[in-house]
Amino acid sequence: MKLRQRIFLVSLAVVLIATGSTAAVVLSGYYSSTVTREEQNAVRLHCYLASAMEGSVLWQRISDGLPRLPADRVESILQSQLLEQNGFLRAFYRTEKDLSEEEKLLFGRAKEQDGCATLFRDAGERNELTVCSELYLEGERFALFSVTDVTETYRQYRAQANRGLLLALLFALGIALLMLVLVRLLLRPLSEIGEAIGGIAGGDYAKRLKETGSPEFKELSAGVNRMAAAIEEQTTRLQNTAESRKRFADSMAHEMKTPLTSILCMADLLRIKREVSEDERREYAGVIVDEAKRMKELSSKLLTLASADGAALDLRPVSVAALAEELSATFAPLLERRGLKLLTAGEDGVILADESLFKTLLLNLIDNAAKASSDGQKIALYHTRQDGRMLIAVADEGRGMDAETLRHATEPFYMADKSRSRSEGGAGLGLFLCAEVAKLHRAELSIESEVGKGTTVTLTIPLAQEKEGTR
Amino acid sequence: MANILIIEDDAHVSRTIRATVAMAGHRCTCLPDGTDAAKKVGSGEYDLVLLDVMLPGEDGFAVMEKLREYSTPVIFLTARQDVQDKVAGLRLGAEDYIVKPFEALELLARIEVVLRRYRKMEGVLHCGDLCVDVEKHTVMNGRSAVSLTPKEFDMLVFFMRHVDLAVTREQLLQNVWEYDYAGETRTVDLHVGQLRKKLGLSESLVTIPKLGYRLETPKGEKQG
Repeated sequence: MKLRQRIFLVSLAVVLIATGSTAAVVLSGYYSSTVTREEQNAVRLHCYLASAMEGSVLWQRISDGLPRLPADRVESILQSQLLEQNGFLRAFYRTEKDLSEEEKLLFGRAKEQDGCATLFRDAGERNELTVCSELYLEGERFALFSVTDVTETYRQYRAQANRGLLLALLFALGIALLMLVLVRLLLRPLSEIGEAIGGIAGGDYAKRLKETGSPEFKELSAGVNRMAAAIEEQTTRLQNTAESRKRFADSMAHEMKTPLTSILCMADLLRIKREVSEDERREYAGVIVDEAKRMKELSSKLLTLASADGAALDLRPVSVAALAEELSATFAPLLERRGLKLLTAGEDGVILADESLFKTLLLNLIDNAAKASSDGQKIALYHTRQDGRMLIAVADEGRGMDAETLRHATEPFYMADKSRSRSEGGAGLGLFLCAEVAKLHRAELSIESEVGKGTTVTLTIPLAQEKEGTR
Repeated sequence: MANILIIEDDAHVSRTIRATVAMAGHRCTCLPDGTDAAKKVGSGEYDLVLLDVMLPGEDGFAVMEKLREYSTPVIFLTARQDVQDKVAGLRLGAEDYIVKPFEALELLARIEVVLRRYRKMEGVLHCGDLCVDVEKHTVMNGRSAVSLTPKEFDMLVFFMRHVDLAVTREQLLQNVWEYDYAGETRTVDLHVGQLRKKLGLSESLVTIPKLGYRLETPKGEKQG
């Protein structure tokens, strides 16, 4: 059952009970006072009748000059008295032995009360009020009954009760209908909200409600809007994640399958050809070796990424100066062979880092710098403290990047110059890997570059607490 | 034979494809991207285009849109193997869709299917004394006609198209019987035996251990 139907039925019942009981109480009060009045009138008339009878008998005895009237005389006087009464009051008398059971009972009550007793009776279609009292006349005991017709009073009461009930019913119905309309009006925003929620649930996350109406509905609409906004934000984030995952997977498939194509195809040529010339052999094998190297590079980068992704970091205090020295010791000779010089300088500081991952990060940066540099140029690795953080920078004097390249530099598989990157064994993952590792260390990675002047990559990483000591 | 345009950004893959199609005697030109593709194809000198999907700048699908107005058949090369991609490629009017990485002979076989569909393959094949007319379905060994069953004929044609190349039993099954099932290789061996017997090829149709068979040109003769 819908809410408005329930409200309609409940209000109908409540109003019906309220008006019905009020009408009943008012009517019954009115009726009982009418009945009392009727009763009093009847009793008064009865008493008057009784005294009139006594008076007549007394007057007759005096005029006859007898000490006591004979019984038959009294009877005739009473008979004549009764004849005088008109329609609405009938009276009669009886000696005790002539009384019916009901009359005996009433008479008994009258004797008990030493006055008048009353009784309402249903006599077929009519209602009668019987009054009874004891009458002593000339030593004889009589029971005097008078009967008043009260049918009209009852009829009126019944008519009024019916009218009252009908009115109450109509009133209740009217109120309930009014309630129904009101409830529908008041609840209309609710159905709008319901529709909107349905829309949101159906996937229309951009849908928003108008925050109007009563404060309750405003609050509800605002709540629904907040919920929709949160859902929209989350789904957008999820979509973005899914899209970037898909892009990553697509790019990875491409980057893996391209070298595999060359390897597989060239190897197949070597296998199926009947005669392979020396030049061909050298060309085919050369391609296979180059592409295999590319796959090796790619797989090692992917492995590092996989280990950086999800796995718990082994964070330990690391001295930056010591790390720089170690890198310099292993890398400088290699770079020197390519005609490059690696300089390290700066203040020492201790950071919390996963040493092998962090070393990979710096190695990648130095490798990038070396790839961008040409003969005789210098690469600088310097580190300094600034505002409680460690600043590590790798700077080169190489070819630099333009703004467009800089913007995409940390995207996976982005290569500014594909053929050059590939000839150097790059997979387009280096800076992406650096950015991922930096993110894991809560470090910021920023790149400044100018075409022809060189590139500086700066890492800003929080210093470890001093008391934890160095490694 | 055919003149093929290769549009592929990776230099090594480009070289690989060139070496592969050259082996079958096709001529080819390589482009690193799709910029000049329409102009080249428009000149009408190419019989087939091999088009990479992931190209720098415009991707292969965009290039394909521009090539649609010419009747030159196009085969897509791609690293992606989504069904949707495949459907999209074929709907654009591509003849075939080859997923990287592929083997040399697979590439050649699929190129040949397309060229044959466009009747750009030679209808008469020669190897030594053997002469096969694909259209007329006849085989001449020197001056005498030889009758072959349809499967034997298809197999001979496949060998004749790949003279001096090793062909695996699986490739024969795939291309002659047209099913992808490695296991029924005994059927292949039986048919090879029949070919050898009927055509006297016991010398030139040699078995390559652990690989398959190879139809060789007689010594001193160079096939081109």
